[in-house]
Amino acid sequence: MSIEQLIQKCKKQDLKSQEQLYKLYANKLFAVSLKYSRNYQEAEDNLQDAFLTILQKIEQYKNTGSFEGWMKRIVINTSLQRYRKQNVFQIIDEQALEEPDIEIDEEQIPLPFLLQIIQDLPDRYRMVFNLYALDGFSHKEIAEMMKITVGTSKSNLARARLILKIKVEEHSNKNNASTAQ
Amino acid sequence: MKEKKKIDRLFQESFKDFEAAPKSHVWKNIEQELQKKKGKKVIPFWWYKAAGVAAVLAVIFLAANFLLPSNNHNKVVNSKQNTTVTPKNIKKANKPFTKTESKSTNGTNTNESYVNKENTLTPIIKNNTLNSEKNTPFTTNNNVEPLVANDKKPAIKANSESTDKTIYTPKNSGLSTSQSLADTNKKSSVTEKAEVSKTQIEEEEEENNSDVNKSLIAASQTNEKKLAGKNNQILTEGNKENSNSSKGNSAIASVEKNNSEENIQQEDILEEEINHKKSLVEEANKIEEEKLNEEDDDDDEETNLSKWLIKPNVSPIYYSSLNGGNNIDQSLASNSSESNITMAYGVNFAYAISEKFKVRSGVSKVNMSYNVNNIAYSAGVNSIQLEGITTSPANEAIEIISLDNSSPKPTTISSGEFDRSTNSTFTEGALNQQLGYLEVPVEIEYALVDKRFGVNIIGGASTLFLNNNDVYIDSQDSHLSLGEANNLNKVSFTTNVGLGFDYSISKSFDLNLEPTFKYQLNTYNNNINNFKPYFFGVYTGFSFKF
Repeated sequence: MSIEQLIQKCKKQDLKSQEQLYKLYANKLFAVSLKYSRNYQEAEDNLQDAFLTILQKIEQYKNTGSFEGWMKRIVINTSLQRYRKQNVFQIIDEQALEEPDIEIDEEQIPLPFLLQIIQDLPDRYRMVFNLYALDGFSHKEIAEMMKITVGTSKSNLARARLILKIKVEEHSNKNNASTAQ
Repeated sequence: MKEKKKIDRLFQESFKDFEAAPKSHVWKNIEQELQKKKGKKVIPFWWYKAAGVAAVLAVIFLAANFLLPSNNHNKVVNSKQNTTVTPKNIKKANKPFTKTESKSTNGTNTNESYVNKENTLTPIIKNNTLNSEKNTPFTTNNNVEPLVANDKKPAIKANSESTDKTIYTPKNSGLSTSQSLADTNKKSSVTEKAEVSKTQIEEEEEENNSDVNKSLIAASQTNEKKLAGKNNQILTEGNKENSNSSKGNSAIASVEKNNSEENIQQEDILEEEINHKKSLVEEANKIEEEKLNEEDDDDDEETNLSKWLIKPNVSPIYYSSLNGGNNIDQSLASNSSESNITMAYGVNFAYAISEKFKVRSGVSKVNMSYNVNNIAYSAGVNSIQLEGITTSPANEAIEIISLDNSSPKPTTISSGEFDRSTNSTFTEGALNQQLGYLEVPVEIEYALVDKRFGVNIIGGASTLFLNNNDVYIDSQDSHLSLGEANNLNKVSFTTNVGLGFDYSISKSFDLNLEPTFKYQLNTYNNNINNFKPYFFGVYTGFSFKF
């Protein structure tokens, strides 16, 4: 069965097909949810809410553009929604930072660690960094989505990068030290 | 600026093909929510249906009680006391009958509503192979090493030389190896992924106490174009051909060298993406807004159940007996009898147990009428009552004889003072027996052919509740109520056999035609002439599935 057929059946709210759709995309969507959430638990909640939205609104997917992209966007929006509702975006000093001088060793950092430090970022930093650096949204789009200014978006991104860089460096140093021993 | 790129790139690269299996309870929750919503919607929907059906039934039976022959014959009786009934009166009396008929059908029509039939199960996608053409078993076995999360050794470095993907599995070396193998086939077909997630979900049930990062699986694929493109995710599908390039497998070092080339290619890709992305963004935004605005929109969801059918139907009824005759009096046993075509109407419900079998029940009103011909009647002083009829007090003086046979009664009587057979006061006519029942069938329907044109076998039994019982004398110019049969059981049964034909006009709307034979079992408590009545109807109607 093609994905189009599966979508058609899901539009008819056929439970078996809905489950199948979930199994097909849960891993990818959960990955997105993990990046945008504070922790594992929250990522699960987000995925659950987002997937319910997907199933309920699936008839609005008009087969234009990638279905996966459409679903991912719903996952992202769901996590944004959560913060908008809770109104927990921190008020942060929005003065632009100097561009940090970020250098990273040419080595690979384990992904769970990277995920952890993303999740540990303050909410708005995490959102902006994910949207801009990982999901390719422009500062203008981010500003609209998050109801912030373009300047704020840029400054948040810079701060996020800085925090991430420091943590990555710490990690590398520790790693180097341990391998040196 | 270059520095900035670096940290972004580190993350882009790492999260490129990042996937993580959520635990199985997530789907269970989703499923529950879905069913809750369905349940919420189904119940009021049913109530609505049931109310509609109840209304139809109420209309039919109220109409039947007030307007049908049970009232009519009062008029006839009254007029009879003036000894004659004019044909006009009879006509009038019959009118309400046809009226109700049309009323009841209209009633049912207005209560129709339309529900789509559920589409049955979707075939489950099967995973045939875990190995795609790109990853031969050799390379995957050699290069893919599941790493323990606590291990500080950078995994990607270790594997970057020859793998095109590196997999991170924090724990579970045994089981997740196969899982990782499966994950290396990122570019293989969607169906495989389905299977992968299945195994992951199963696996998760075993490891309930896993820590936060336990089930993370990442596959980093160093395809530069995709890496550099900001929009990895949307792009992934589009760029399959890129994944074949050997360049794609090199380590990060080479990524940097190629920076300048990439930037040019990047721009083209980005432009496409941006357009593409925008439409998605708009679409998704709209959905989000709608979701906020109308959180409780209850009505637009259709229920998928179409196990129930409702079938209003009408049928002409032909009433007769297997061995002919009648059950009025022995003296009339050899008189010819004939059935009048009458009507039955009602509503049936059917419930589909499986695709082939339906159980059904319902209520219908059945009227029967038959004539015993060649009788003569007269008012007599010492009239002899017919055995099977309790005549009403006003008519006790009426005597009925058969003109067909030389039965003992008339002859014995004729030997008396009055020779009735030659008496000119005798009027020729026919006895007309009218019976009305409320029928409650319980039947099973088996589908022989289940296409647009369907054929079913129907078998079952009905309970009949007597609600109309009259005997009339019909002659050329009169219609007299004589009384009622005294040997009828109030409750009797029939065995039913029928053949059903249906033609589906739409998913939920069928036309039905059901010739059905119903053999009556214990109609009489005193069966005078061993009368074995049956009736035959061609039930015609339509059915709605919901």
